[in-house]
This record gives sequence, structure tokens and C-alpha cells, in this order.
Amino acid sequence: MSKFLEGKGALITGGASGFGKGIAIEYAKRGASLVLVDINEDLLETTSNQIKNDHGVSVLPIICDVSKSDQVESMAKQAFEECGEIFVLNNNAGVGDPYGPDLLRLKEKYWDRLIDINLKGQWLVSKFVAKRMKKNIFTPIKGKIIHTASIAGMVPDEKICAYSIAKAGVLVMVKMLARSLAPNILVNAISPGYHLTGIYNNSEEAMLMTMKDGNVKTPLDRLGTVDDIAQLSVFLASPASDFITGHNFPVDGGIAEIGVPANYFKTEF
Amino acid sequence: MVEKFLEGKGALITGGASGFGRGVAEAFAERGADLVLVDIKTDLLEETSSNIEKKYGCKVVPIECDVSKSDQVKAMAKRTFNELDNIYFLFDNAGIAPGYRKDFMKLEEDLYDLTMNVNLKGQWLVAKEICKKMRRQQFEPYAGKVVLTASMFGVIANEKSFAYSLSKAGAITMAKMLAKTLAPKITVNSISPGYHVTGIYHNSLDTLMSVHNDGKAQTPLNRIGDVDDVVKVILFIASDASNFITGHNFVIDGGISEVGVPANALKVDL
Repeated sequence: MSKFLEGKGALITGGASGFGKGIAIEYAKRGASLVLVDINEDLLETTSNQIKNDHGVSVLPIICDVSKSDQVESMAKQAFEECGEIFVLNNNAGVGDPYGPDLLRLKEKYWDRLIDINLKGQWLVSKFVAKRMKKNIFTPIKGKIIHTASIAGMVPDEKICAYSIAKAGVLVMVKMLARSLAPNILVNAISPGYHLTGIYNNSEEAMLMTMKDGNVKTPLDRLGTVDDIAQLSVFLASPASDFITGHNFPVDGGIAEIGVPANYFKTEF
Repeated sequence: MVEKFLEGKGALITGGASGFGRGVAEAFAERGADLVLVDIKTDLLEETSSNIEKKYGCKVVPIECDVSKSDQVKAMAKRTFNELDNIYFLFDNAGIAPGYRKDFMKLEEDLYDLTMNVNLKGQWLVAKEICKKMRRQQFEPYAGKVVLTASMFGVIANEKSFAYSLSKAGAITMAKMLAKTLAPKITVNSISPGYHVTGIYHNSLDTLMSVHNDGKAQTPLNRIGDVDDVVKVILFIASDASNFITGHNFVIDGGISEVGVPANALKVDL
């Protein structure tokens, strides 16, 4: 396996579990020094130690609430000071609840929490990390930023309304960041579909219930895995994607782009 | 040393004699694939095929074919499966771009027909004849993978390449429909290159730059693309790393169509 991330730092928010952890392990295999950022202290420590022991790379765990600018600013400072130059940023932390209430029934506190973490949080992390990334010595590309969006940002799901809005915002944010940071930093989005992660409390049953509820059909006829996302992330971190910026990559087995939209089934003929 | 993940697998590449087709052919040969190269340019096809065969020691079958003619495409498909026992990867890539600078008012009907027949109908015919057999192959988890070459002009229409833009928008839509029809046995995606020096620009950087500057194109990543930019993405799609992606259009244009300034914005007098 090519260790193309050797001598390079990779910072992953939401790195303690789910996609973040899967991505961290794949980057570690390719020689990256890791900074794992999460709000779940215990899980962060367990994951960091596990990756350090299994792959022999340096792992710096930082506890941070990405919706708080002072915490994000000091997180970015610590990351560059202790890990060195961060070449890849996976702006991945996010929350998914509550499931069910539509825009008319959603309580304001849930709206605020979701938009603060999923949308503002991604902006703050990119802002403070990119400021330092711009000074990296790597050439011709100084760094790569990968945002975790969602197919809910492409095909909105009214039962996760604030989540859908936050993720649609992420897709637009990515294009604007790509423009602001070109030509030295590349910015792209990943839009996962249904994959078993902490967003579903790691419960396959909960995820299948959500899919059934939304009449979701997956053209490729299987559930997504963490590895499906981690492999795309490796591609985006590698030189193979050096001419791609501002692009959104759905990894969903075809749901968002060729599947039947959920609401199609609700129409009475 | 590259990983030979295509060993035992066949790949068919239309427009394989030059440009993206040849680039992908070489990369696939290096990774162990056997090849069928389809092109209309006989001499170039023979030369490319024998070069690749010598260099990589794989089987390379050159087939001359006008992809816009269904009888030729049928014969090509028949010969393909006589020569190779499988086609795991179809790179449906052949295309032309005649009649540049003729907008929809000026474009002659024969150039319109030619572009649509080769680019759009040709991609359909090739996919149709090859996928009939491909879907019955025994590979796991997929019987095969298909990629159509579209273009960023299918995403952001270029009025000076009227028929070409239409044909490429059609290719992006065709990939989605094929993906749906062939799921879950075969994944189908499209690629949309931007400005890369290939036969479409007569392999001339000057020609490419004149089109680029004519459209006031701004490439956010501030360089012209090369064949390798596309080859690397095709390798990703051919590998297991892309196994949960189907029906997607991979834009490889340095950011022009999705984050660049649209050409016509610069023409507005403020």
C-alpha cells in the first residue's frame, strides 16, 4: 500500500467513531499523522489508543465542541503546533436527531442545536484550519478539505428537516470554499446514504426502520458500510483527485441520483 | 509496482486509439487487464494496440468500428466476446466535436446529425450490445462496470459547441438510466472532463487555449487538465473503492463547471 500520507497530518472531526474512525484508520495505513477531534471524551481516547497501537502512527486526540468558535480556534492551533502541517481535513462531525418532527412541529432548541453543530460547526472548522493550511509548504497542493454532507442535502427528507437543510448548506459551502481556496487547496463533499454509524446509534434496526419509513429503495440493493466512505475519502486525499474541486460525491448505492424519490410513493393516482 | 487488480478481466474501450481512451488502456494493461480497443482511425488503432501489447504483454484486440452504425457495433460486440471471455469494464468513450463556433442558428443539420449519432447514439449502441452479455457474467459483487465519457459542457452548456453540449448532457442522463436498469448487477457512472489536450482539440494546446479563452473560461485550479487526471479517476471507478457509487457524474475540470465563474457572467456590462 502506498504511504502517500507519510509526513502529512490529517485532522478528522467526529473522529472517535463512525465514518471519522473508519477514515482515520485508512489514513493511518497510508502513513498519516492523525488529529482526532470529538466531543465524546471516552470514545475519543479509546479510538486514539487503538489506532496508535494498531498502526504505529502518532494520534493527537482533541476534545472540542465544533459549534463553539473559541474551542475550534484553539483546537486548530493545537493541531498545527503539535501535529505539524495538516494536509487533509475531514470536516465530518455531525448529529442526526431528532427523527420524525417536520418543519411545523420541530422545536426551536433542536433546530438551533442541529444547525449549530452540522452547519456552523463545519464552517468554523474549515475557517480556522484553512487559515493555517494556506501556509503549508506542500506543493503544488497545500491541502485538501473534505466535508461530510449527506444525500439528505440532495433529496430532502422532511422527517429530518433541520438535518436536510444543514446538509444542503454544506453542499453550497463546499463550492464557496473551493472557490475561495483555489488553486492551492481543494474542497469537496461526500454525501453518504444509509450506512450504519452513530447517527443511527449503531443500530441496524433503527436504520432499516428509517429506510422503510421513507420508502427508500437502494438501486445497488445493499446497505452502505463505513468502508464505502473511507475508500472515497482516501481517493480524495490522494493525488488521484488532484484536478477535482467543488464537487459532491454521493456514496449511496444510487439512491439520490437514480433512485425513486421517497415521496413518489405517497402520490395517489 | 502497481496492484494488478484487473488480472483476468477484460476491458473494452471505444475511442481507444488516442486521448483518454489510450491513457486508460495503458493504465488498465499495466494492472493486468486484457483489452479490446475500438476506434474508427485504423492506422492509429493498429499502432496504439501493438505498442500496448508489446509494452505490457497483455492481449490487445483492435477493432475498427463506426459506433454510430448499429450493424458495425453488433459485429464489434460479437467479435469482442469471441476474442475475450469477459468484458468487466466498458469505457464508452468515443466522441467527436465538429462545428465549433456554430451556435444553434448557424449549425448545419449534417453536423448536428453527425455529432448526435457518434456521441449520443454511439454510446447507447455500444452500451446496449456490450451490457447484454456483461450482465450475465459471474464476477462478484458486480458482473461489470460501465463509464460513459460526458463533458463539463454537458453540465454548463457551451453555446458555441451546441450539438456537442446537447450530446454530453444526454450522456449524463443516459448513465443514470443505464445505472437504474442495470442495478444491482452493474454500476454505471459518467465522467465530465474539462479542458484536457486530446484529439477533441486535435492534440493541440493552441486549439484548446483558443476555445478556453474564447469562452473566457476561468479554471479555479489554475491549470489545464491532462489525460492522467482522467485516467486516475477511471482507475478509482474500476477499483473496489467505488463499489457503492452508481449513476454519478464525476466532474474532472479543475472546478470550472461547479465553482468557476460562468462564462456569460463576464459578458454582462455592469
